[in-house]
Parts: sequence; C-alpha cells; structure tokens
Amino acid sequence: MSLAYPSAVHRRGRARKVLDTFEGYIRIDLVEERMFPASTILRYLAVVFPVLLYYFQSTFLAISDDLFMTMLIGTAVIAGLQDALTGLTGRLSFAMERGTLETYLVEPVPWALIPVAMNIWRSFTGALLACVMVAIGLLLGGSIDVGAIPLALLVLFLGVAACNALGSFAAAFILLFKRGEPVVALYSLAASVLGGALFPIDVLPPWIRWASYLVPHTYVIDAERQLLMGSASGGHMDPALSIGILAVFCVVAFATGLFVFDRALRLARRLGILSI
Amino acid sequence: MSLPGDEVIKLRGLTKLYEPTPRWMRVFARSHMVEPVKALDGVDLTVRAGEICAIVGPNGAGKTSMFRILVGLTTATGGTATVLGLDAGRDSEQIRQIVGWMPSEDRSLLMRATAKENLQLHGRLQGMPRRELAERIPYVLETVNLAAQTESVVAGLSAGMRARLRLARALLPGPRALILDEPTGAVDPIAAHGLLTLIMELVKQERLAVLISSHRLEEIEALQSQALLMDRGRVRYSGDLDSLRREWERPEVEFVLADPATAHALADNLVAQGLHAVVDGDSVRCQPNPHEPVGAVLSRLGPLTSQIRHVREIPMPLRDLIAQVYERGEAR
Repeated sequence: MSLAYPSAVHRRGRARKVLDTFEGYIRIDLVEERMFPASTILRYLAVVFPVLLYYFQSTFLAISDDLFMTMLIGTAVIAGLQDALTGLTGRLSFAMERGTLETYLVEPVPWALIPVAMNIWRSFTGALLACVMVAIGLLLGGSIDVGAIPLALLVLFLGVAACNALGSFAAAFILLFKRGEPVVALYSLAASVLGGALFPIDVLPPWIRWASYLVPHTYVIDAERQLLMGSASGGHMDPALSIGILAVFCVVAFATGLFVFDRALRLARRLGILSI
Repeated sequence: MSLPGDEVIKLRGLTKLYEPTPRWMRVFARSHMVEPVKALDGVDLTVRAGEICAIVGPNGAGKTSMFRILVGLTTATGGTATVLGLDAGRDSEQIRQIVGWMPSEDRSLLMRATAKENLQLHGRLQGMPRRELAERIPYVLETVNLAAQTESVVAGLSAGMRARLRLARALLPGPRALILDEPTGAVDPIAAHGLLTLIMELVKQERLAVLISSHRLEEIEALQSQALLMDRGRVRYSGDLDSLRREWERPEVEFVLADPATAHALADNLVAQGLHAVVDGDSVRCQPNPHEPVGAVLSRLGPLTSQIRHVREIPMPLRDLIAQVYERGEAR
C-alpha cells in the first residue's frame, strides 16, 4: 500500500460532508463520555434532586395537585434546553483553551457545520435528561397524557433546535472575543424567568411579559404543559400556534445565526485570531 | 531534474499584514494588536514533489503565519499561496484534504482517546470511507512504528510516540504535501533523529512536498533540505544549504605546530597579514579573508610553513552561518 491514498482532491457531496462531520463529532463526544463514565452517571443521577425538591415543595404548599407537574415540566424543559444553549459555548471555549480547535478547523469540512456538529450529542443528552426528569415525576405520582408524548417530543426537538441556533450566535461571540459564557449564562437565567419555568407567564407584569414572547423557552414550556397536562396547565396559547412559531423561529434564527457565525469566522480569519 | 508540473507548494509575493483589532472589538476583549504588524512581506517559495524545505527564523519571523495561510487559518493580504494549483484563500477546504498538517503541540490530540480513535476521527472528517480507513489506520501506525500502541490511550504515550502519532494523523489521508511545525519540539534527540529519518524516507518514497520549521539547526542540516531563512517577514536566503555555505561560509583554518612558542610566532605573522588569529596551546586558528584560498595565507608564512604539522579547515556551524546571513543582511 502506498501512503499516497488520493491522487487528487477526493470529491464529496454536501450531504456526505454533513454526515461525516456529524458522525465525527458524535464520535468525539462518545469517546469523552467513555473517558469519564462516572460523570455521565452522576449527571443523570443529579436530576433526581430537583424533581424531589419540587415534589416536596408542592406537597408542602398544597395549592393544587397540578403544581408539581407544572413546575416539573417547566424545570425539565429549562434543563433540557440549557444543554443545547450552553453546550456549544462550553465546548468551543474548551477546544480553544486546550488547543484542539485548530485541529478541528484544518479538517476539510465546511466550518459553518462545526457549531451544529459540536453540539448534537450534548443537545440529545440534554433532551434525554428532560425526559428522565418527567419520568421520575411520574414515578412520584404525577400524571401526564401519554398519547401526547410524540407531539411533546416534537416540541422539545424544536426547542432544542431553536436553542442550538441561538448557540451559534454565542459561538460567533466566542470566536471574536474568546469568552461567551457570561452572555449565555445571562440569557439562560433570563429565559428561565421569562419563559415561566416555575409559573405561567400570566404571573409576570405586563410591562415585562412582552419579552417572554421573544424567547423560545416560553413556547416550548407552554406547549409542553398544555400537551402533557391538558386544561390543568394554565397555558394560554394553542400548542399548534406554539409549534408554528417555534418552527419559524428555528428557520430564522438558524439562518441568521449561521450567517453571523460565518461573518465572525471571516473576520477572525482575516485578523488572524481564529483559534488563538 | 524537476519539472514545472512537480511544483506542489508555491508562494508568490505572499504578504500578511495583521491589522489592529478594531476599536469596537476592544470593548469586549482586551487586545495585544493595537498597531499593524507585517508578518510576511513578499515571500516567494516553491516546494516541489520529493523536496523538503526548512523554514528557519527567529520568533516572529513569519513561519507560523505562512503555515496558517496555507491551511486556511488566516488569509493573505497580498500575493498568492497555492497547493497543487489550488488557491489557499479560495479553495481552502480542498487544500486541507491534500495537505497533512502536523501542529507543534501534543494538545492537538485527544489525550484520553486511543491512537486508533484519534485516527478514526480524523479519517472520518477527511471523508475516508470506513473500509479504507480500517485498512489504512494499521498501515500508517506501522509506518510510524506505533502498531503496538494502536489501542493505547494517548495520555500514556511518550513525547516521541505522540509526535509520531501526530505524523501518522497527517499521513492518514495520503496527502501530497506535509506541513510540519516544529515536529521534534518536545522530543528527545534520539527520537527526533528517528522521526526525521522517517520523514526523509517518506519524502523519497512518496514524493511528498514538505515544509518544516525547526529551531534545531542540526536537524535542518541533517535533512539536506532546501532552506528559507526568514527575518521579520522577509526572506534573507532561499536555496539549498550547500549553496548557502558556498555563498556565505568563511571557514576557520587551524594550524597545528610543534610547540606553543612557534604557534605564537605564526599567530604574529597572521596578525601582520591583517587576519584575526587565536592561539590555543600549540595550535592557531584564523579566518582567511573572503574568497582567499588557504594557499595564499600559507605562501605568506615564509619559513614558518615548514613548522606546520597539520592544517585543518573547520566548517562554520550552521548556527553561525545563519547568524552571519542575518547580520550581513541587516547591514545591507
């Protein structure tokens, strides 16, 4: 066998490149999961405690039987979307600090795919975490409409996609300024208040409620509560409308997010600050 | 004889001016770039298939900027950089498929993954089909003598082994050109020698075009390569090391005499000829004037010539030779 494997540039279709890139990055994540097996187990174990916290709190307050599931679904969604939102910035910063980002960038894949590919596994495990939280709630006596689960998973998927799109804005920020966590942390905390993680957004005063409609968390939490809890949810938007808004949000945010990421990449490349 | 079609890496008037970080960006992050810096200034270079070109220069000479332009991590401000006719700015993604890049640091490897897993990841991102990858990974690991470490976690490998793994990763997709950024940086001299011997063999066998930077000048000499001496973005010398020696070297001549008294007498004679002479026991060292044959010096020594037991030419160490190129280039 000769070392000279391709005699010229090996042409690949766009779809092939996307698949190869996604597979490559998922492979890195699986290797990392295997590197620290206990931390993965502990991460799933850790979600038991917030579920118990809301369970005992709702028992103590004894306002209504649905309070526990209202709080649990809101918290599970926030926890699930949190990974999609912050996973990329954490990963990108880590790669930049450790020096592996340069290695990723010299691979022959379109750079615009990197932020998405880097966050696929983390987004998936985040969504799984949300499902585990709800499942623990069911074991503690909570109830949901089992028939609505497929649609609820679709809403969760759309929420994860929307947060990934927002993550690409943060990725652009990190490329240029090397620090993005504070921005994402700020957004993330604001989203849990504005999205109504522990209460319906009707509780918010009108002068701030308008901001709730700007974060995807609001639509995901509201739709999830309505789908899984029915009329007891206290939601006020038709789930079909929430799904439509989330879909549009995903398309617009992805298009603009990847555009901004691409512009940041070009500027960083020109200034010579890419990966350093 | 090399043909124009053999040209793999070609730089023409390559210039890189790092602009200062825009003011609006400095609001978010403090920047060290407040003034423009010219990292490369009209660099011309051609590396053909089967050729090694060593890029030599002090820190800030522009070596890394050149490499980063070639692999697409930054863009040129002027001139062109091509690999097999592909433009580094426009066809960066394709270039990254035919250029194997070996970064200087171990950190570029996934430290807790095995050697095989590191190569699998790289191969998939390179678009290598699974079956070919499965055949090729053992082959490249065998080539760099790491077959026994296939399933070893990288963190447990020695510095020399990690360097060889980085080389294996660069070789995996079968590149036509290699860019080696200080490949022997943290490697001990014996392992470094092995690595360089391997690189030289690969260049011969596979007719790879290799760009290499190293601060170890003895290694560059051992590579018998072309050399590009750079200083603050400009080329001070470009050509092979033999021509560099012919053009710039002023070797010292050592005369060994019967006793120290005769050595001092000979040194006085050389000083009278206008040469600088140093006595060390019964030997004298001097540096003849440029382009003056040793015979001319000997002919002026008169009866002392018969007292000389040995005459020996001492070649200049490459380090001194390069320093001289920089010094004289400075004076021009």
